[in-house]
Amino acid sequence: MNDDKTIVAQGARPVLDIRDFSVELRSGKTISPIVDKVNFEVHEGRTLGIVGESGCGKSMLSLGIMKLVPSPPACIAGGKVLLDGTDLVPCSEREMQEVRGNRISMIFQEPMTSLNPVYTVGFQIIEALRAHSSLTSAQARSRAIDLLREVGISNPEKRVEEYPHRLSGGMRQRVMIAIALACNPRVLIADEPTTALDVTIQAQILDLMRSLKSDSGTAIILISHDLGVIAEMADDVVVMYAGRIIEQAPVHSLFAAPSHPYTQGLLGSMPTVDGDQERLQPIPGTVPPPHDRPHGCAFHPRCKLSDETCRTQRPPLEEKISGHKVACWHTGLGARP
Amino acid sequence: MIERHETPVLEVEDLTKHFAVGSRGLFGRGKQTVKALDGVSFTVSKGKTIAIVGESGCGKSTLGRTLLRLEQPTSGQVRLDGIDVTAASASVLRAMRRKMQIVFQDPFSSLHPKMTAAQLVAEPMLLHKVATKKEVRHRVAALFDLVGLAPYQMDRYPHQFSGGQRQRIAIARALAVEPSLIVCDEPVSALDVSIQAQIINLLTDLQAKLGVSYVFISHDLGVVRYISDEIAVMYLGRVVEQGTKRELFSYPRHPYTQALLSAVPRPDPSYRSQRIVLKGDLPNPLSPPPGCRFSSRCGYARDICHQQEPQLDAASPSHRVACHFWKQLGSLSGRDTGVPATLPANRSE
Repeated sequence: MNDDKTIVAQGARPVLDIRDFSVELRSGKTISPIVDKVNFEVHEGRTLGIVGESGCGKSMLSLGIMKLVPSPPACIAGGKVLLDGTDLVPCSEREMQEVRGNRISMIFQEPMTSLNPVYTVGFQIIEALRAHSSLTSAQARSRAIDLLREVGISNPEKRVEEYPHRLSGGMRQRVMIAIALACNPRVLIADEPTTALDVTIQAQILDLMRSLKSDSGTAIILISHDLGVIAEMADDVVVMYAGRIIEQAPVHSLFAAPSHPYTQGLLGSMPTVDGDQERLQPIPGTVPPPHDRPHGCAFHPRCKLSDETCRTQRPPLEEKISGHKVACWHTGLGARP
Repeated sequence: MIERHETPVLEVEDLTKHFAVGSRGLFGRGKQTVKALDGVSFTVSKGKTIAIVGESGCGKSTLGRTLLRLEQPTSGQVRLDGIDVTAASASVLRAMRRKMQIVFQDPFSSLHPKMTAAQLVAEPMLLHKVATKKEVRHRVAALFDLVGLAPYQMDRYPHQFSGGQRQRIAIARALAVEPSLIVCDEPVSALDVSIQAQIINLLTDLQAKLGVSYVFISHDLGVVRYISDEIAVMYLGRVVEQGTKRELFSYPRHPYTQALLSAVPRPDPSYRSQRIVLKGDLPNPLSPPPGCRFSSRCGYARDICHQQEPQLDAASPSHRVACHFWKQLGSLSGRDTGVPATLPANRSE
């Protein structure tokens, strides 16, 4: 379970390698970058957490990887998505259909809107299985029952005939996970998978995802606004702000020494259950909209440390200590807590 | 009154709300009832906050609505400043509404899109005649200042504001009639964490300044720990544990409270795997399990739990627990190692 100590072999090829990936929003003559030259790698059996507030581009990034960005107005503006070394960006829609649900799958926040209400859950799992394999319908059905059992649904022989509305939110998310894992994907993208769930059900789903990951070796990209969920699940973390990565580090390093003022701000605004706080330290202001991003460092209008450099020049994402990258002109200069 | 601060602003006694649902057959025969609230009691003093915590379907929002008599209670009493809200006539109730206000979760749907921010804040003042048309603009400006909005934003429409700013408008609107109580129903759940912190700080500042009392309904235990003086944990319409902040967070007694606390993901990677993971889902409120309603998910349940409903028992003058075995359970929670449980957990389901 606690496999974050596994060290990725030097030079091991990542399952998914994202390079200079950008997504733009085009409306009329204005072009706004919503994902701006993002780089990261995801390795087999590891979880990459992507954290940020609404409007930071985390969901557009995940849709972009799947080439599912609503186009127009959005489009992939450049970069590479290397899945086992093959670039997906130039792939045709037909080729992408072979990839989606098969080599990369995705689960979303609201399982009720991702499931089709007029088909049984069994039908929907079988559909995914038969789209990407040559199983007969009887084989697919028995595999669907196995999958439901694997995701912890009791009485799967009966549940396979149920319609989504008969299931609770937690059960529906289990069904979504069963569909996503039907074809043993190389990568699972989970976009806020537990945000709509109650905390006790969230704990169940996170447990399930962890055990599935260690059984199957599937690489997971977990997108969340909740630093608690990220701390609990991720091996590596990417913090996004206004479409860019502003901090990137192994999970222990990130939480032990959060270095970007935005990451520090997020942690400072979180009320904790484990102690009494004097006063929360909110980040002033709001996330700028994509068509109105500030010059220089996008965070400077909300940042206590900002100066002339921050207003005019964009800080590069640089490695400050081993494996820990930060895009800030001031951290590394003694601002680390 | 001599000891004004001792008089509770809000007294809730044995409040019950049942909903009849599903009409099987003609004339609604065979109707079933959901006991959304079942014997809820608590008091709130001036300038204090009670938090109502629980998961979806536990009845916390019904409680908020019933307190304000937006729902007619089935039985029980709610007294605001000593006056019975539940039995008040329409005209008395109308006057009392000035004293009790509500802030909802979603600032996108709770503000009328065709009214300007100033009109939205002015409306309750004009309705309750706490300000004349002449002075209303001046008072709106003062409220804007109080909740951290700029005067130039007064004539803007809700869609021109961000989520956090809209929640500020909703709070200004609630404060406009100088209420003694505000029910906050998940006021920060729809907001990003940095904005959430701004609104929470605003609510605590306003309380310190104006002495308003809050009933704070939330599923987020971190927020609750920060904002509340007292907490009631609800499960399927009943309060299962109630106590001061310190009692509840440092010495939780009910197995549900303990599980709830341990399930919250901590922003600390070394906390992993210290959680109590409850089995199963919340039971259907139409047919809650017999005996203790939590028994179907409780790791400690014994025969008696399936037969007899536990009553709220006093663990201290301010701390009450509805569990047959709270004494044996100790107060194991989160990182607090307190008293170890002497009651072994059931291995089987």
